[in-house]
Amino acid sequence: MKKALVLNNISKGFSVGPRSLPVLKDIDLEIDEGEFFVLVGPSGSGKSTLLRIMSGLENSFTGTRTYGATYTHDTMSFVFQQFALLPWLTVYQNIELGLLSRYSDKEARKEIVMRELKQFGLEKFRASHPRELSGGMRQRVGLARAMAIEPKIIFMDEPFSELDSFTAEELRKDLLSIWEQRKQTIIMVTHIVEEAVELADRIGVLTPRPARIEKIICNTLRRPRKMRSTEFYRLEDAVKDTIRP
Amino acid sequence: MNHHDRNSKIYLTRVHRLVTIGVVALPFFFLLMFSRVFGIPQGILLNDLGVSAFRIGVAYVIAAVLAWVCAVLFYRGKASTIGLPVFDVLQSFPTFALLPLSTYVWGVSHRTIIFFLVLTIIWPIFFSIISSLKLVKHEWHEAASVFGLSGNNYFVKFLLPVSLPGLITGSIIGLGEGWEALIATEIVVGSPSGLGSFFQTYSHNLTVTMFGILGFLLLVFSINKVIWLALLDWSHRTMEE
Repeated sequence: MKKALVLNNISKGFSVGPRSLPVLKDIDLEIDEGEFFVLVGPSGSGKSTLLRIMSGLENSFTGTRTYGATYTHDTMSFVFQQFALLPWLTVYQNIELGLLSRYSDKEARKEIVMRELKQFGLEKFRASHPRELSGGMRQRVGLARAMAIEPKIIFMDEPFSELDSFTAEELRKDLLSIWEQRKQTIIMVTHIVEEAVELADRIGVLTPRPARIEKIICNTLRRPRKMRSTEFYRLEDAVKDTIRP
Repeated sequence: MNHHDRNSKIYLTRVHRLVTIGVVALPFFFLLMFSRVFGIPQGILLNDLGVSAFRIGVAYVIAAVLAWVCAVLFYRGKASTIGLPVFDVLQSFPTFALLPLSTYVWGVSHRTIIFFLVLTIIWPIFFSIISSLKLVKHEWHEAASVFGLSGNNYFVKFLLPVSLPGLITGSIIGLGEGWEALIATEIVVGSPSGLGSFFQTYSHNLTVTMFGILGFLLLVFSINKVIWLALLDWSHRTMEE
């Protein structure tokens, strides 16, 4: 299996006055191409910091981060916890954001944006501003913006944690169906174990600070996963038991 | 768009339009009456007003562009650590101290007055833009970086919109100080035209001076109401999440 991303001995600390507070310690991790990898861990364990290092948003760390041969900055995308939509731009313009540097032809950009608007059910809202949308619709825009650039790898930082449970469930289903069509590599951080079991091929459990990889759990449950099945609950319990508070 | 928004739109298109036209017409109407009642030729009044408006207009454009460029260059990172204390000292510099020198170099000219005005107007705009830029959410910067915004796109789609609220707030404060500095400078250097010259000429006539000040306040009110407050409202609405 080709690797999308390999981390070796990744460590990171934050300076607090004269002291350095270790956040991540000796993290080794390999992500396969096309897999859905989810990181879980106790609150404040450094999940988001690790995701930012993986995505290239954070470059101050020790250790090595190696991307697959065909991966460049242009082939990576990010979905933010609080959407990070630019409020002065319309839905259309937000989705178009990543295409501006990639396609100089306006019509080519329009075609892609229209495709994503349709895919995420946002056609009616193309001229709206983010403030006019509900949380669920905003994250749809966030996902559409991330997908529009046709990335090979997408990093997601707790993308559903700001949403109510119904909206989050609906959006997870949509994300899975799109992922099954496009087969991009997805690396996601969450603190909701149920979400990890529903989505992931593999679940990486982090220890409390300084975070190490406690265990990597393979999720062999057949898709589409039945969230009320015994196997689902069993795996959810196994992950929960692994997480140390 | 909800019901409430639709109602406000109707209000904006009818009553608000009439009020706006009234506010724009008010200073001109006042000028006309002022000229008739006190027997001051309209040409002189319009010339003084035009000269002063030209000076403050040019000074404002220079100050706004300079303030924006400096703010963008110095709002974060090492440049900010070194630059901001220097700018803070510079803004405390007593600008009037340079007036005799600039009058000596450029004489009683547009250049002297505009130079002085730029030094007055630039600081509120600069520090307001700095404050706007420092309040930009970290995630917005990250989104701009992840999605590869650069060059002209970064300027138009990111940098300009995030600095607009600061630019507008700073402009309101800067121009307020600017008008005051303009009239003071025109009087101090003895400019033969401009509003300062008008007030100097009629300094012996309390009624003309009082009505002149009233007319001036009406003009400032009109500009603020029609341009600046509308822009301020618009810029805050566009940044609303």
